[in-house]
Amino acid sequence: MSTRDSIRSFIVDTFFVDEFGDDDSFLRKGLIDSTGMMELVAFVESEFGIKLEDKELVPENLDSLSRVVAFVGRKQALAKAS
Amino acid sequence: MNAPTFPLHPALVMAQLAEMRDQFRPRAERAMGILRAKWFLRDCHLDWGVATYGRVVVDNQGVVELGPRLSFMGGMVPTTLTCHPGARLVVGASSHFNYGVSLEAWESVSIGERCMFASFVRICDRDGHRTAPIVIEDDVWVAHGAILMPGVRIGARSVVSAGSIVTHDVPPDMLAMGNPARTMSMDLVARGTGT
Repeated sequence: MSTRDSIRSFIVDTFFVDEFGDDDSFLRKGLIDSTGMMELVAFVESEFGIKLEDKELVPENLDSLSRVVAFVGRKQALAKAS
Repeated sequence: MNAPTFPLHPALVMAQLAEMRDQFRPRAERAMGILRAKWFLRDCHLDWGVATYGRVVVDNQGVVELGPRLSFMGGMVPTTLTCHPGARLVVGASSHFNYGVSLEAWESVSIGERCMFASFVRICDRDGHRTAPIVIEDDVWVAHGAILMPGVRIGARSVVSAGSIVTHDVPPDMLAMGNPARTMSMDLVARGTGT
């Protein structure tokens, strides 16, 4: 399963939302609340074996499916490089 | 036809009185709260307008400075302020405390202005291992049952979620959540007004 598909299926299964596009803001569409965001962070960390710093938990990195996928990609590339 | 139009109809008078009483009651409660605060907080440096609406237990062997317009709510468990010898416990203006808040200072605990503390929040600057001052900046909201560990600094306008255990500093405008608490940008989880 691709990164996008596994994150999307996690969101669908955990938050019972299905009708959202890759660029929809989780916050503005009311898809994920603050506790849910923590769950998403925990999922991303365990699923992809990366460690998110607290200062990286900002909307630019996590507020839509496409942003999360891009962010995970960047983190994985960084982890490989180091 | 026979509707009462005379302004001093008994029902109207009673309604007027009831309305006046309802308007007056909060002020009466506040006056009682201020009087109660004078008694419960008699061992503290007390600024004006501090009101307690329930029991507050103070054990002050150091310096406790309470700013103006604080309010301490009442409930099933009293709020406790404990200050050990040589310690300082400072609370800024207009902060609110719900019942069961436990503040304990061994060295220094300072709280900014307009903070809110929900029920059963525990703030103590000493645990089994170390003693380190706790600083809470302005406009911080600490939700139910959160625990602040020694040495943490909560930045201005941050929120600590219910039940969190804060072991590290929280920068300004952040949401801290979990055990140990992690912080995330408030922009990620809360919409600003009107957006």
